[in-house]
Amino acid sequence: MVAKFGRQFEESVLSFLLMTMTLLVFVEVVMRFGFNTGIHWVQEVTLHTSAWFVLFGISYGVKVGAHIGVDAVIRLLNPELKRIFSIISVLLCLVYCVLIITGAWVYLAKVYSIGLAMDDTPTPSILMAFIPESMMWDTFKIDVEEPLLPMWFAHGPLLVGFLLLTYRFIEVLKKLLTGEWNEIHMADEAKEALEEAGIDADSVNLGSEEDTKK
Amino acid sequence: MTIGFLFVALFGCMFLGMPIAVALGLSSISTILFFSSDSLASIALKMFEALSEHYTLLAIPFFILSSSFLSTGGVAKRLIRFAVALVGHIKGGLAMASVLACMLFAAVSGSSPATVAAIGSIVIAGMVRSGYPEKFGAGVIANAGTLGILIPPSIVMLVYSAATEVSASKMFMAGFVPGIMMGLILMIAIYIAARVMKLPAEPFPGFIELLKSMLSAMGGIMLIVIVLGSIYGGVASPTEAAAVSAVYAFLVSVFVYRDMGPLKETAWVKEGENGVTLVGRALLQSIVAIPKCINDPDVRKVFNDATKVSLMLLFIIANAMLFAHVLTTERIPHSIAEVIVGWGLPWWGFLIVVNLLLLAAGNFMEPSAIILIMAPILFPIAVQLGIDPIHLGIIMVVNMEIGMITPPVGLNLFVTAGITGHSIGWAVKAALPWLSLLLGFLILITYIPQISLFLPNFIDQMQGYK
Repeated sequence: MVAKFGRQFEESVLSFLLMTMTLLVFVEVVMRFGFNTGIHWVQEVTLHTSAWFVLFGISYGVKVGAHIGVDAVIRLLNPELKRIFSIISVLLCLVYCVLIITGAWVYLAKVYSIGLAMDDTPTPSILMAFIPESMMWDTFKIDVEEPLLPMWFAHGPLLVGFLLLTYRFIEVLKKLLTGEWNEIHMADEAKEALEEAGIDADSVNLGSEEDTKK
Repeated sequence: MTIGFLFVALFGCMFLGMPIAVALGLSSISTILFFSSDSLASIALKMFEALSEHYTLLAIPFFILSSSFLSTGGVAKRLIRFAVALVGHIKGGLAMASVLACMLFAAVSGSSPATVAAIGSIVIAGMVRSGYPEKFGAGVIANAGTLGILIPPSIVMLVYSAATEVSASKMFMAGFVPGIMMGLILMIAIYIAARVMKLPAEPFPGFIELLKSMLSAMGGIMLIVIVLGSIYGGVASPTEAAAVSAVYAFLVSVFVYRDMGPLKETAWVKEGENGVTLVGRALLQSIVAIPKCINDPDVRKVFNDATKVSLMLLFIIANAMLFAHVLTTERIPHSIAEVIVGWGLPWWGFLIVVNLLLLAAGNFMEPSAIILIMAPILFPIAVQLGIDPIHLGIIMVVNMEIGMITPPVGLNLFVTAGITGHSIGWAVKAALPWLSLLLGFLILITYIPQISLFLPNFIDQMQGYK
């Protein structure tokens, strides 16, 4: 129940981000052609929405098996060896996560301590209304004179996204260690295309012989 | 030393079975840490910049969204009906119509396996009913489906321009003529085969059916017209055209075709209704239906599918940019280029090497991943040998097409085997005669750059840049 709600929540957030970036560019096009105007912060917001979309999405991608890999070698191995290879893979993935998280932490701490802000994007006034005057700069690094969105907030998903990714990889590691899985689940475009057409992809005869022909 | 470490780490990680994105990222980061003085913080910043500073890349999620709205069986049926009405009456017409339908559907969906599944599952059975050998039909479809990545708008071309900073609009212009040409080559071959094998022709259904079927297919065809028209006309960037096409695809599939969404079961015409009330009722229904879309299972599924594919690709691209950064700072392509130029290899010899390398890679990797790894290496070398970057891009794309129908990772072969219920080996044999056409076409494309460069140069001239 909780798992189902969590999944729907993730999907809703990601769909919302995807929809937002599409509509932002669409509205920009309509405004330029229809009214010959534009909003100066739209491009920056669109680009950062897409970055948030990817950063929040990669961990979801691990959960639903959306990422792709090369299985040319490991599919030749027996299940036990395959599991060991996959465990090493996930451990290396975790090394990757730790490296990026360390870097992101140092980077964001620096950005926060300097108090850098975005180039064009203003802080939404709804958010500003909730922040007491004294905390504006000291806690949130928002310049009251020119309230641009603080950069630590805009770039923060880098840290959050990779923390979530670490969590998902640990989950995969658990499944591999307990033997529930013997490989990392990856996407297969061909299988999905078949399933879309209503055909069971596991029934495909991978050999060259015709003996199993229905 | 650096080169060796980078590539051993990359291929080691990939063959262990790691996600390609992480393999690219980890091998690049460890190379940076071992062989240069960049800090982890600067790598994290690079990663964020790779995700947030490339406006052209936004076209990828937008095109994926628009194609997942329109890659439905309903759209496939309409395009097939139109194609059959148009060319079905020629000898071997049903097979030719399948090629045409594949070309149109491929342009709308941008995915080769999806094209083979959607078109193939309908037309192969139809061809068998009309007396074609099943092998013939399956081979044609497996090959025609590969046109998806050559006919613009194409995701693989966007990936190439992300990897090399070549203009995506130019790539879209360059792919058009080769795409049509390959379609025509297939159709001519079918015509000749039909004469020899005495394959049947369909009766001509009459101009009224032709017009009707065209009108019904228009929703899909207009998407190609909007995208290519606005890009070729120079009025919109690929990103803007893609955003418009995503919104257009949503409107067409939910409110016009009604293949999905809240109006799925609602008929367009009620009995004894006149035009005015019909339009009025349709408008009213559509307005009521818009908020319902948010919680509609079909619409949500389209968004989820598009989300998965987009974030997978964009994450690979972000890591590939780290990889490209390592290549440039370590001047790896330059050292390779010096070696190759030192061999005295002429440009055509280099292109043979490129073709062989890509065909080999295409046997075990996905097209976008190959382009992201190979393009940053091949691109500087090609430039030094005087090869046009756009021409190189088209060569790479055609190689990727061939990779889709050669075992073991030939996605189209897998799908063809799936929809016909035969084995992969059978699908390989079915596709083989047509594959030789594709290989011949690759040689044409490689050694006659004008085929690819004619249209982009012509449009440049028209707009007065040259």
